[in-house]
Amino acid sequence: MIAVRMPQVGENLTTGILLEWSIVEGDRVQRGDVLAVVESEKAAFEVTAEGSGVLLRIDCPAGQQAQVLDAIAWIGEPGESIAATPIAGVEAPLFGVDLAPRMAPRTATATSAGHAASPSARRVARQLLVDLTRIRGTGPGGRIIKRDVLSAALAESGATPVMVGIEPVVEGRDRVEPHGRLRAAIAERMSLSARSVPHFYLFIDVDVTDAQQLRTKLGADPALSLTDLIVAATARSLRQHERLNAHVGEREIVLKAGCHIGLAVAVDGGILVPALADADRHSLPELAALRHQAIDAARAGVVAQKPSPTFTITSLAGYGVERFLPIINPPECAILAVGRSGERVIAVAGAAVVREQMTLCLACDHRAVDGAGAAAFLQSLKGWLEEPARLIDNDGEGE
Amino acid sequence: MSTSDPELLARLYRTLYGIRRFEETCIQLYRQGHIRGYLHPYLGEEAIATGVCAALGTEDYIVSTHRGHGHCLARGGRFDRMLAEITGKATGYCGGLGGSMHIADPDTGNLGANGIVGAGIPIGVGAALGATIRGEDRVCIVFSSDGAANHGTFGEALNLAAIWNLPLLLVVENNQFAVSTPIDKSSRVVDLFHRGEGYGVDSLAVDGNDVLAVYDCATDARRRLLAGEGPILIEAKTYRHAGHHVNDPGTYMPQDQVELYKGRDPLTLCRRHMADDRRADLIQNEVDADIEAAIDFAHDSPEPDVDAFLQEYDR
Amino acid sequence: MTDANESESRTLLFRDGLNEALRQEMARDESVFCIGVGIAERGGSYKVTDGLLAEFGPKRCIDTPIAEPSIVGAAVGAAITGMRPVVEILFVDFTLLTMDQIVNQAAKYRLMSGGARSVPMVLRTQGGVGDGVAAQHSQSLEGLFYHIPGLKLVMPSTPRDARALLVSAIRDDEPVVFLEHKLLYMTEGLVPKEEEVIPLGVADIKRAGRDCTLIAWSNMIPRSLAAAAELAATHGIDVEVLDPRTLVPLDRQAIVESVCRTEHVVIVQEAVRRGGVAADIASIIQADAFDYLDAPVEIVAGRNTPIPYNRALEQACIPQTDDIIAAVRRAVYS
Repeated sequence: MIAVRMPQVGENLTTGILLEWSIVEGDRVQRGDVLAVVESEKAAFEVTAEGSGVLLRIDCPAGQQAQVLDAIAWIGEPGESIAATPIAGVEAPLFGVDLAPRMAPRTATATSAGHAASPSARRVARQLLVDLTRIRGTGPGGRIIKRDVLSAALAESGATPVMVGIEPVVEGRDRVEPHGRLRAAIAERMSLSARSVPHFYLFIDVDVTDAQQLRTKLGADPALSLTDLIVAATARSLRQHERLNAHVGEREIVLKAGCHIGLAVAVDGGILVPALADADRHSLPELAALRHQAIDAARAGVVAQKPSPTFTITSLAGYGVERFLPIINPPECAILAVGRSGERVIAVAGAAVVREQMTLCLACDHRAVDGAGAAAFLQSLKGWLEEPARLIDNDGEGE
Repeated sequence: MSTSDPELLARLYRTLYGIRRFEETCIQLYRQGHIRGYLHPYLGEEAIATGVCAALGTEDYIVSTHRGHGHCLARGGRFDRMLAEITGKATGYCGGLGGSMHIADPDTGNLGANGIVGAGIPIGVGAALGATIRGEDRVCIVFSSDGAANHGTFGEALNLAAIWNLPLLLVVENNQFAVSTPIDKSSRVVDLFHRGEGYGVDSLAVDGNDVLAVYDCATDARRRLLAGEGPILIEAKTYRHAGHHVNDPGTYMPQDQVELYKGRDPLTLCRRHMADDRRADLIQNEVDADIEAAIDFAHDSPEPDVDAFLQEYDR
Repeated sequence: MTDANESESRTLLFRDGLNEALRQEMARDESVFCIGVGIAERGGSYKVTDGLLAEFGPKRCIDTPIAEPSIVGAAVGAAITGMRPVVEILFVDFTLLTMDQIVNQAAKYRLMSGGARSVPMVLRTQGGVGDGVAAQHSQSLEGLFYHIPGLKLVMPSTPRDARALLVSAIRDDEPVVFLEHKLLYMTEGLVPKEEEVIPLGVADIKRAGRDCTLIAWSNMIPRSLAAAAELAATHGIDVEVLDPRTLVPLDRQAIVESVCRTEHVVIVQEAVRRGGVAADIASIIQADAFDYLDAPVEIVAGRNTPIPYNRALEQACIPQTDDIIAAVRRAVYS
């Protein structure tokens, strides 16, 4: 079905008059045949057929006016039904289209009783559970500003809110070291995490005798460390327990599509957490190489902003620490603390044997993760590490 | 003498006829709503693009104007990809992003049509300059217009080409109207080639409707440019068959002049040189069929993808 | 950004840093050439191109008549056919003459050709209030270029940044407007001896701080650093000075991260207040750091007037150190 349209006759001209038809309904026409003559303010124009067929119907008789590009007749095969077709290439103006906004609008946070408060003040009030209606603002026009909220929190609770510290005592040859950028960022982040994330902790002992043997046997370059196997095992466990591979928001959980494992790296002045991107898609030697790169970069002070870690591993194994309780790195929902591996005497079937073991501690955000889910994850992780050959069988393939 | 070369004549005629039919097709497609915006047909001026481009080597550059379909086709542009571009399809020479006034094919040395009058001249100077710095044997042809001749860039750029001895051929297509302003109202000197003389540039005029005259002139100019005698200015006098753009009926063009130049239709003039009339008819049939196929190609081609476009260009 | 190590650096003038960058890139890539009014024989009005003619010859260092539109147009034509021109327009005020070639040609060619070719040219120019050069030679026009899609825009504030960013700009495949400041050419700074590339689109924290983020560029950086020193010494306010260095593409992430940390922000620009870059940065901060603002975004900018000749009036039209100090104190309710 081909529409015959009132021709485009010029800018600002919206109508044309059909002067005469040179064919009648029922005539067969070829592409390019002249069908009619139309007139606009300025001149006369021929209307030609865009394709071949039978002129089925004339909608605009001679002498009548029509809008530019409206259908004035139809060409098709006898028996076809005439349905209006939109003209290709003539789109609705783009600004009529509702282009999805690329940033989701923030929900407005109303203040109570009409008190103007800065966004910072409102945020802090939420975090410290301070009632804004009871505060007098010291900003211009009575605006409640952040320090007003902090002072109120201090007065209300009688205890020291974490944001406002008790001043340290400086005397004699004490050296004052103001927070550098990194220290300040860590302080704020860890305070926030400790204060607002409900942590719970699970411990599990893992037998790494086979893992250590495999590691030495593989002898890759750079050499595989136990950390690489832990990363590989963690990545696979996260794929099996996707709720542990998530970010936690105030009202939602974001299940992350990528598996990017952060490694806590001690650097000058603090810690940085570079991410091993797509850790589930790399072989063990690749993970070792990535780990070295990440550590070198972190020590040089360069940590890529993207991708952000979806799960963090922190290890004090090198310092002989048996086990420790880590603080979750928000907005992640969990963190794994790795203790030292060493020979232990354990009981197997009633006999004492010596095995190489280590203790893992998993901290989870109870807003998003429950005990059973966390425990199941830890169990899988233990399974991967205690049958390390499976890590190679599944080398580089995500599950 | 070129008149006796049937192969050359056939080649030239194919291009002339191709441009003519292409422009007529574009007007039709515009009326049908498939082409939007501005369309400046090259009807009546075909001999200039045809004759000049036939004299070029594969390495040479051309810079075009807003009335650029003829230059693009004469430089080897394909009907189908050009129609696709002019109808905004993804398969067009510029992915549907340029349209009629910006059509370009840098891979064949066509640096593009330009919607700003006179803007292409300094760009052509730059292309010739780059070639000179690199020590290459190539020339740059800048097509411009009588309208551009009164624009600042005309004199500036011609002067730069002159002081740097660039291998640049400036072809002034004098169709005697800048939009609707006749040449004698916009310049005291209507023979525009005289402007080049002021800058010390070799300048001459040629009959823009005689494709063989244009071809011979351009061939000689190119030879001289490659020998380091550049730049050169050629004024080609001609006339439009219609108004400035597709919606301009050109009622300001005196009827007797229109008739005079239509009587010297470049296609007719070329055909007269051709001994074999049947060969000319054969060429026409082939070109007609190619254009039909090109219309189908354009209609069947997809629109460019909006997300991919935003991803690439929204920075 | 790591500090320039004293032993592996030397003190260079801003203009000599630019000169080094040009020399290095022209030696490295024979498609790079310089073109502009008075840049070859004379080595440029600010001596930025000094010595290039002698070292690289007249085909790579080209003097032109005063024909700005065509000089820039020639750069466009050369760039789309395989060269990497560095075209100098002596005053940013004169770029207004070339706007068709910059805006309608250079910025749009890549799109109009459907990506067939890009325009790898650098347009070097300088602006800003100097010493009484008056209305037509004192403008800060980055707002115009900021607004044109298809252009990148760089405004370095130190010799080190200038050198390393010019290298990046030359190597970039898209047109870059490299906007220098007339009062910065003779300023000094430490520049590493070895070659350095600073990617476009990466901001630099010139001074880390806790209480307020101070965003500034070009000649407003020295002024902002002076303000920061005074604020620390006299008012106990610890200001973080952030230099975007590249305005297009803008390092939004660095800006938002800093503001989220300090929760107070002042933006300083020499350019006129109405419609400038600062207003756009403020809108970005408002959108992306809304919940972390303890005060409205402060903008200190040039007055909405052409620059007068008289010295006191001239200075009254652009931000001074005291204006910046006052704005920071307002922002932190001090």
